[in-house]
Amino acid sequence: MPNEIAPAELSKIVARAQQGSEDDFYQLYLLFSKAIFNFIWRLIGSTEDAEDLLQETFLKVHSELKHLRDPNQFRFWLYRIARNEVYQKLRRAQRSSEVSIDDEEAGYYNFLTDDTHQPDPETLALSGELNEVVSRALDSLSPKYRDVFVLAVFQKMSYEDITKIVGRSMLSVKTDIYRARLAVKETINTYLKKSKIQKA
Amino acid sequence: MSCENLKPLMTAWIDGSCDSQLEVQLREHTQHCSACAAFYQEQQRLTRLFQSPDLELEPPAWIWTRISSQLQTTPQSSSTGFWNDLVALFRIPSLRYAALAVVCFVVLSAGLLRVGESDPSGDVMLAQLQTYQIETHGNPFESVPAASDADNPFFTFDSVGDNPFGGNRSLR
Repeated sequence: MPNEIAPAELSKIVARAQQGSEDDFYQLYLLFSKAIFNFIWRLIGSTEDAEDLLQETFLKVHSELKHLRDPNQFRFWLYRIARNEVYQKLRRAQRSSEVSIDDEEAGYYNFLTDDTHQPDPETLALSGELNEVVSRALDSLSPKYRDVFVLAVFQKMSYEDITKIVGRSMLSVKTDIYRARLAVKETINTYLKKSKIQKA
Repeated sequence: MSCENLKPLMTAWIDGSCDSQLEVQLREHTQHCSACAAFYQEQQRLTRLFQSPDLELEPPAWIWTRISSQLQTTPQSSSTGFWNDLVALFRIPSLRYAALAVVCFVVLSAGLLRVGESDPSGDVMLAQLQTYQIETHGNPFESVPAASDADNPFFTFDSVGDNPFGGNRSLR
């Protein structure tokens, strides 16, 4: 769980933020911004885009928070907003690149312009080769597999929570995560083999 | 259950989304099946790799500054106010249609009631008409000139003998 806070306490903070408390809204930002930022970053693949989308996500949360009926659902609702922001961004990129977002074979980065295929300098500096391997592995996944994989593996969410965010059945989520894991393993193995050949 | 069918359950186990009963079964299976044990260990290594803290980024502090300044220029539109709450309520389609139905019902009912009841403005119009008649043509009840014998069709006798009723005036 990315946010170690008791659900009852979180509900109280959300309820106060709904009443217009800016301090409590800031608390929500402190609690969730890192997890949401990393979630967006892993979906979109660019830290620069992730920064913009994190801002857009929290601005939308602020404007729509009053309409959230059940404060207990805040976490799922927040992830859904972040995911929607990513999808909107990808659709805009899709329009310019004329690649279908529903194409199961297409990787996420295929929707973006060519320069986003290159890992950010910041990302590379962070942990070098490991990050590159991870980025390539995620790049190989279609959006359908990618979001559930990121939620399960990076965000450490339970499958039940993931169903609430992506709006798919438990069976679908379980199967998609399994297939995503197989695809990621395959990509990593291929990458490592190529690296060994190049080093040799 | 075959190994191929067990593998998706194994990844759910690694991700902590498997009930305890199934977990016991999977644990027992991996102790006897080397292929499934290898798959399990491989997926566990993959999970550890992806959950490395080195792969996490902190969002830059300036993002909150930007959000905060945006919020100051555009305050939360829906934070307070009865009307905002009301508008928000009607975003729910079922409530919107229900409200429309109520408005239609009220308008139709009001129309039917107006048709059914006597029109109070009719009395006012009658009074105005009477006033107009009195002013232009005189009061039909009060301004009748005093009846003269000549004008009275029943008293136009010239002589008593003419009066069939035996009066002193005669009919013409």
